[in-house]
Formats: sequence, C-alpha cells, structure tokens
Amino acid sequence: MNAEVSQLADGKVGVVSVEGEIDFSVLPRMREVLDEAHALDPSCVLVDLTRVTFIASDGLGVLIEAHRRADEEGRKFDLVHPQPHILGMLRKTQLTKLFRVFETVEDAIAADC
Amino acid sequence: MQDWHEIIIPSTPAGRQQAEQSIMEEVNRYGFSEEACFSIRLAMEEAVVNAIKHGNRFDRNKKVTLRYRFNGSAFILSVRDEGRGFDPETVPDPTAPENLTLPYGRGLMLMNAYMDRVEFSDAGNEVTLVKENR
Repeated sequence: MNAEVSQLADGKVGVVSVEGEIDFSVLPRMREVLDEAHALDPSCVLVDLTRVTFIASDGLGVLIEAHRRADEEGRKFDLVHPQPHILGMLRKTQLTKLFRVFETVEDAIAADC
Repeated sequence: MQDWHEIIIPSTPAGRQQAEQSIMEEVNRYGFSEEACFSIRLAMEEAVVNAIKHGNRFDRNKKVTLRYRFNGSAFILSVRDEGRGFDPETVPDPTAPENLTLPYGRGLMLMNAYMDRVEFSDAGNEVTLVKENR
C-alpha cells in the first residue's frame, strides 16, 4: 500500500490518497497517514479510495477511528470514489450511514465537505 | 475431487500474507469470477486475522492451520487456531445503530455476507468457508 497526504482549497481540505490493499499488515501506516492529515488541522479530511483494490474489516476500523477523531476535533471526514466492490462492503456493513461518499474530490469540496 | 492442501503459519502478519497469496493464486487458476475472488480473499483475511488476534492472541508459539481444496464446484477453506474458541452466536450485530461506530466486530458478518456457507466447529476454534464457483 502507498499513501500520501496533500492539501487543497487553501489548506481547508486534507486529502489522503491511498493506493493498493488496506489489509492487516498496513494498518500502522494507515493510522500514521490519517494522523498526518488530522495534524494539518483542515476543516475536512477526505480519503480518496479510487486506487484501493482491497480493504478488510480492520481497515474499515481504522477509517472509523479517524472519523471519530474528526468528530471530536470538529472537522468532517468523508470518503471519495471507492471501487464498486468496496462500496458494496460499505453498504453491507451499513457504514454508508456513517461516511459520506463522493464521486470525486472536487464533488466533495463543492459540497463543502 | 481434489485432496486437501494444508498450510501451517505462525501467528504473525508475514506468515499470513504469504499463505493468503499462495492460496489466491490457486483460486485464480480455477476460474472464479473477479467478484468471487474478492469474496474469498476477504473472508480468508477475516478468518486468518481472527485466528491470529482473537484465537492465538498473537502468541508466536501458536500456529494457524489453513486447509483448502476445490471440489469441482466450490472452494472450501478451513482455518483453525490453537485458542479456546468462541460462540459465534454471541457476537453482536455490527450493523445495529449502537454498534455502527465501533472500529471492530465486522469480520464474522463479512464472512457470512460474502461466502455461501460459514460453519464453526463445536469448539469454536475452526471455521469452514465455502464459495461456489458459479
């Protein structure tokens, strides 16, 4: 898995772009990169899942932890463009009730993420 | 009908990765759809991680045993740990509103959602997963 953090919208949005598989072995790196995004203190953190090919329940757990931290610190936390099988997982686990899911980063920013 | 294959791994992330990769290479060779491959990969990951975390509690001296075979129409995988087992009936529903924000507890639900059959041994330390090749 590769992951990096960038800033958009004059620093108001932190984007975590992830590539590859989010399985048990990469959870420490996922937590680290999500912490980096929170540390920028944006009003919104977006996790771009466009290039994520696999995620297991522990990976979902890390996203839930990051969502909780965002709530506590008064920022939004949304997901962008999960592949169909990953969107299916989010629906089966009903996590689409917790996360907002946008088609593109631009859509999320336009929706005042 | 194919014989059972067996892979025994230590309770470490590295052992898990290698075993899962080698089994998925075989699954791919048997012509399962992309969707079925994702389901098998996901259910296997959940079962093996549960065995390492909850069954063997990361004890490097304890092993996880994976046994698998293709019976012509289906892929069958059993994952056994050396723990005390558990009663799957006692696992809370992770989709219940009060559990939705918990960062854990979805593995069993995902196995059930993505496989055609999920069975636990009486002792609760071995799960058998079945996926039909449709």
